[in-house]
Amino acid sequence: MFFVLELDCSNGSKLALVADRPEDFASQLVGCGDFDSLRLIEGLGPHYTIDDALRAALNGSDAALVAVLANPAIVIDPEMPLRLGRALLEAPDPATVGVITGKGTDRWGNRFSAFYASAEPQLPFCRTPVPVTDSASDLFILARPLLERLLARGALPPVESLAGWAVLEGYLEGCVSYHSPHLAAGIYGRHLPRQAEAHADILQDLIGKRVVRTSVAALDGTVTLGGVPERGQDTRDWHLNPRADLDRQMTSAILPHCRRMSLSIVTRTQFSRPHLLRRLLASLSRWRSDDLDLEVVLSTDIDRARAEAELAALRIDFPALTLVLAWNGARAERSRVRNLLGGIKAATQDYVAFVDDDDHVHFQALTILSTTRFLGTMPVVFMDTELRKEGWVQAGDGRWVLDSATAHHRYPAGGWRNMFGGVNQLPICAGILPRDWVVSQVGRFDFRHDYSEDFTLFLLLLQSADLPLILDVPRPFCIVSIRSDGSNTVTEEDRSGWVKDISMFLHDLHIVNSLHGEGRLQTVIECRTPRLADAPPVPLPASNPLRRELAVARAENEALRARLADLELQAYARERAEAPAAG
Amino acid sequence: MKIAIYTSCALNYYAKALALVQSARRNSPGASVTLCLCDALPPGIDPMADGFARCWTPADLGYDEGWIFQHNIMELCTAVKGRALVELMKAEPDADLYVYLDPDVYIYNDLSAVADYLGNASIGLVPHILSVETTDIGVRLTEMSVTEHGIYNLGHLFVRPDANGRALAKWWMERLDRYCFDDREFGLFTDQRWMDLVPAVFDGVCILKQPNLDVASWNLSGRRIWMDAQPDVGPDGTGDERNFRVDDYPLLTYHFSGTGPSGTHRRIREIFDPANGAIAEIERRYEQAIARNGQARLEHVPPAHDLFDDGTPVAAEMRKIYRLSTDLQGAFPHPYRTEGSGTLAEWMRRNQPSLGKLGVKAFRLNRSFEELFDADYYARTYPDAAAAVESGMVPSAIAHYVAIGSGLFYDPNEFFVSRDYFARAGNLDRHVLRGRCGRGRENTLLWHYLTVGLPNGIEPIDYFDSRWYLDHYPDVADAIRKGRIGTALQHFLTWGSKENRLPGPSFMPSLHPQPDPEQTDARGAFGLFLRNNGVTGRISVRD
Repeated sequence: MFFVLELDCSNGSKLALVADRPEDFASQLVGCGDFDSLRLIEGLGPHYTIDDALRAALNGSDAALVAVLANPAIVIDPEMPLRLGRALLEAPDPATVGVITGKGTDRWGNRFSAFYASAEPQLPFCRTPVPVTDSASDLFILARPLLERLLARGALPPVESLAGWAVLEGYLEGCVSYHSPHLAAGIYGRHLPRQAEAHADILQDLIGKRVVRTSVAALDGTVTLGGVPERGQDTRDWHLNPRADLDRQMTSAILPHCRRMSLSIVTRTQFSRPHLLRRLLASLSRWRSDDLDLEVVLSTDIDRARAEAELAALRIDFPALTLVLAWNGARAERSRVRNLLGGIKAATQDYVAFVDDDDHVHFQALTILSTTRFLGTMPVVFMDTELRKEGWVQAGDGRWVLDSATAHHRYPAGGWRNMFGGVNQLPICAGILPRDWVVSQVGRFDFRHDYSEDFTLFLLLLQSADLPLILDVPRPFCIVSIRSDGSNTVTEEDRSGWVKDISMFLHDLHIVNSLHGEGRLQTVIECRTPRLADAPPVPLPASNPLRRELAVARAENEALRARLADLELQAYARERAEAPAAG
Repeated sequence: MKIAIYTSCALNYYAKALALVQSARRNSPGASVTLCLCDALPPGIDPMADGFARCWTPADLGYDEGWIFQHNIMELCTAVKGRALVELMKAEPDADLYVYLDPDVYIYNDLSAVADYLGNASIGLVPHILSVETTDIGVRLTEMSVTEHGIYNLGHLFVRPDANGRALAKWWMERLDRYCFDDREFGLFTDQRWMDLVPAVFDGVCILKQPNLDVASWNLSGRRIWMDAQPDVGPDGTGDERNFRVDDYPLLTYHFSGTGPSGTHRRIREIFDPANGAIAEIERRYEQAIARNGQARLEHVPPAHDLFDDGTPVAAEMRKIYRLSTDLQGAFPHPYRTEGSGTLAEWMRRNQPSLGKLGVKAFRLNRSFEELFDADYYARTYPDAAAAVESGMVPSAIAHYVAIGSGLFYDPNEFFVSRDYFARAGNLDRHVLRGRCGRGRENTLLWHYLTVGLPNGIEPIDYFDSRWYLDHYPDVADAIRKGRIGTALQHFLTWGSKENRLPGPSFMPSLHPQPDPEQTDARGAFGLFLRNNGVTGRISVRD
């Protein structure tokens, strides 16, 4: 049966509740101090539907939000009122909210859940609010204005599809829906079951005719809504009839609740491939978003006067871009790392991303990023990367023409999950990262080597103690150009320099840094790579086992000794600099 | 100076035509813009309120239904241009210059400068390109295209109201009234190829070689496009669009041909001038302008003249049959009508029952392409392709086919004999196959089959007949209609042959052995026949 209740929250606001519970539920609450703030409005017998219960909630309470506990197996623990209250505190204006859910999926198919179901155990995940396109019906909150409009239309769909439908209806009416980690709950049993096909049919029936054909990420997979004119239907009339672009509606409903994205693109460049650098800037200028502040940091260590002249010329050709020069001293060893770190330091926006000067951005990338800072959060965003094999030819007037471009490979955003397996899964341009966080992390590590600095950076960031929520966006951010003319380093055949640097970087990360208390890497590596299993036999230089052990120990000792010497020197230099001036 | 501009389009280009009229009002204030709308005007759209001086439909220009029916939408929009010019000279007799501009042209500065460029000439033609290409891709994509489509771009035409100009208008109208078709096999490309004759047969013709006119993705080579950094933002905030420069000229017009769902314009620009910030900015602003004008809603509206009056689409083949038969034109003067008996639609249903069933819809082409590509067969048959995939030189078998295999006549599946298909269909719409060594799906024989061969009844293997197959197996026709499969050939390849369905009327299963049960990979009787006997273009495997 349904119980209709009202909760007085600590901040003075009210929340109506509709709960599908056993008959003795009311008696469970009586005398329980944790539920003093709950008031029973009405109990509705088994012949009543959830529609009746929701109407009773609207009639019996003037609360702006209505929580629905549609799964009778949800365990009501003593702190649930407190958590519901927190969810209310976090909620924006109810007029702009559709559904707040404990379990949902976002536009990119990422699933978030705050539930623990005993029959389908899974750890709760996602600790920040994220906009969703589908919601489970176990426990969710509906905004009153939307609920009133939905009820005014007549009968509601079956309860298992109710929340998902309300999410999409909300978007069509300009209301955002989102996952709230405060709606955590235990489920003694299973989640409310839902048949994917039946759910898709319900959505198509209720919404399909009002939207242009589109695919929506749902908890059970992708749902295709909308359609094409049916046979015999007037196609002109069909097209001329206004139909909502659901995808666009979602963006416009989410955007007002997002903190404005500001992004620094750090581009390491020696200005040696002007047509490629300009292609990058043209792509940034072409696809810049009105909802995103963009800055391009050209990070270099070429001659300063030449760099400034190059910058001045680029500013003339790309007046719509904010171009900044990070000059990192005269060119020396570890140029890649110096320009990377120098670029990060010079960047001034909230986020930083790294795009090499021979690559360019995808046409949707910047628009997508404009809606990632929902309710002020600062997630780490990983996006796909497309690799293209390109052939360029120079025309008679000196202009470079893109003779061929073929898709070669795609690095998925979700590759970060496999980063601790030993192989770098992400190009450096895959991450769009909160700048202050990156600055704080790189400050804790000494980038003493050069090649594979991208792998090292990501490993360092992913083991950080204050790692924000990671958001996978399976859409390309950057298009990486591979050319066979020898003008890019990834096509070089001799990789020994890379291997040397990778091994030394990993040694620093794993061993040297752990001396400073950075011990998390061991755990994450072992989750991914069991210590002994699958370890390939390693050929060693000598046949005598004792000599081999000695050689390894000597090498490690040398590295540690050099590191210690380096640290001593740094400490000495710092003490000298901080000492009060004489006289 | 009074300039009378006109343009011609269907509703799906209305947002662009609106951008044209808005740009004319802003940047060439002495100009009026007339719209030839080759479409039905829906409620809620008012061209006069939107700034057009007048709006003519083909009927307003005196064309009847039968004439309209003979033209597809591109042909129709171009075929009216000659008569519209004649009528415009009557409607605005005091104009100093008559200008045709395609609806996807945008005006950046005052067009009266063209009068100076013309000097004493009466007719101004704008060539597609002003300089030779110096790269092979430029030769293939640009120069060869120009030689096929016409030297001059008829997205622009400038005519003075003098004797030469009036003579040109009359001649052009007469030619377009009768011969404005996209029939490149016979040397016609709508109105454009006609204009190649003009410098030879008319007096007072000026070939306008100023680089600031008709700038487009296909002619960026040889032009330096840049934005003058002088701050000149007008009161409406858009004044700085007048600051775009081409070489040392102020930009007059930019032609955004291919801006829309296909993205062709952008792709071509990204080949020929990917590093130019000014062009990127021009493109961005234009897309914003047409988006404000409702492009997303209007671009997919099918033209009314592409539909019978009950809303069903007119198949291209129906149009062609009607055009080639004066008897049909005489018998059905109102070809769009479907009510009652004695209609063209009814005649087509009775006499050409498969028409309209064979084309693959544009949005389904890629899927059909992939469904007809049999990666296992391809890798099994062509070890070099399998090795290239294995070594990572190409990402997949289908990528190998697109980049290399089609050009080498590799067969994409067991029932597609590339050599035979090319021999029979290669002459049809050859431009699709230009540069078979190109890198796009569009340059492959399989794509050609889906877009050209299939609608024209050319099959990629002996005995198979898509029309017959669909008529004979209504369940397949139904599955195609519902979008479950793309083509009859796909059905036959995947299921039909295994079910021992017949490929066409000329294949006699009784004459050929059924496959042995252990021949599990044979595709039914036809598959076995193919292996044992071979077909044209492919020898049998039996020794």
